[in-house]
Amino acid sequence: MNLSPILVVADDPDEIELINDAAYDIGIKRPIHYFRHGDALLEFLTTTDTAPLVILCEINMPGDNGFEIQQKVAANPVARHKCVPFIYWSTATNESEIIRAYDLASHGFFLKPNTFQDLCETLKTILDYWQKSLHPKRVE
Amino acid sequence: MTHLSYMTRIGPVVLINDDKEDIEFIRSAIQTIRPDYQLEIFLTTDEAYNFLLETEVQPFIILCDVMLPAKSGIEFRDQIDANPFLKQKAIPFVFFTSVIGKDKIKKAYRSTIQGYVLKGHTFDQLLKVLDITFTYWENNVHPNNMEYSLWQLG
Repeated sequence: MNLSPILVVADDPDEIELINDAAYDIGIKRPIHYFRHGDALLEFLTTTDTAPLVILCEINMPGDNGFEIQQKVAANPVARHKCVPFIYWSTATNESEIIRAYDLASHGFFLKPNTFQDLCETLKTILDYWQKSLHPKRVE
Repeated sequence: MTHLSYMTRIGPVVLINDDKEDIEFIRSAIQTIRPDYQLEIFLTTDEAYNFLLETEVQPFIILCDVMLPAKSGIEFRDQIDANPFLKQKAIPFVFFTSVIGKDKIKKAYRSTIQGYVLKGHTFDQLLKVLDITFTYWENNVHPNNMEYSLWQLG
């Protein structure tokens, strides 16, 4: 059975490694694809057939920031049609960033956990929910 | 070093469902897993809409059935989005239903929804899915439901 992948947009290799370790720790079997730039994410969404489970996107990215990336995904008919939940992932932030995320009708906003254990729990929380949520691409 | 920390106040759960038996199951399930939660129940979307406009508290989440008398859940979602005051409240909107049809789900996703969750067939399934849903949104940072405090690290 093909499990829909998790897409992570992040730039820091240490963080990417942590997420990978956490995913392994909690037994995630789904593929996880990492993108270090919004354009690479967009290319993946527009050139592959997969309907990913979620996009987990850092706000502070080189090049386009997370908000700009979400807007580009929403503006692209092919990418938008996949209806992938777009979840923000950020270090301690300010209120205006959170407001902006919700203005863009995101599907979640999580502060990056401080400990590995919390990271595991947060990832599990995110996956438990979106695995429960029905999606037009994954229903007969 | 300065960090932001926050405390979340959980506002009421807004439930829109016209089946009295369903309502009782859901009420009982929420009482079981989140006894401190406040639940506002509406049989129609119009009643819920008026509540959302008038209430001063920030609801935690909207759990809305898809098939409803008069306005459907999907129409209700669009109605909320079309109202600038309600739109900026950005209350997570989750379809909470037994309706599975692919067409309905596709239609639902044309609006901005934050989930499409099946209620399940048994009380245990209901407990589990509500717990997962609440846990997710409890862990989300939200602009209208927070108290900020700035604290310094040593």
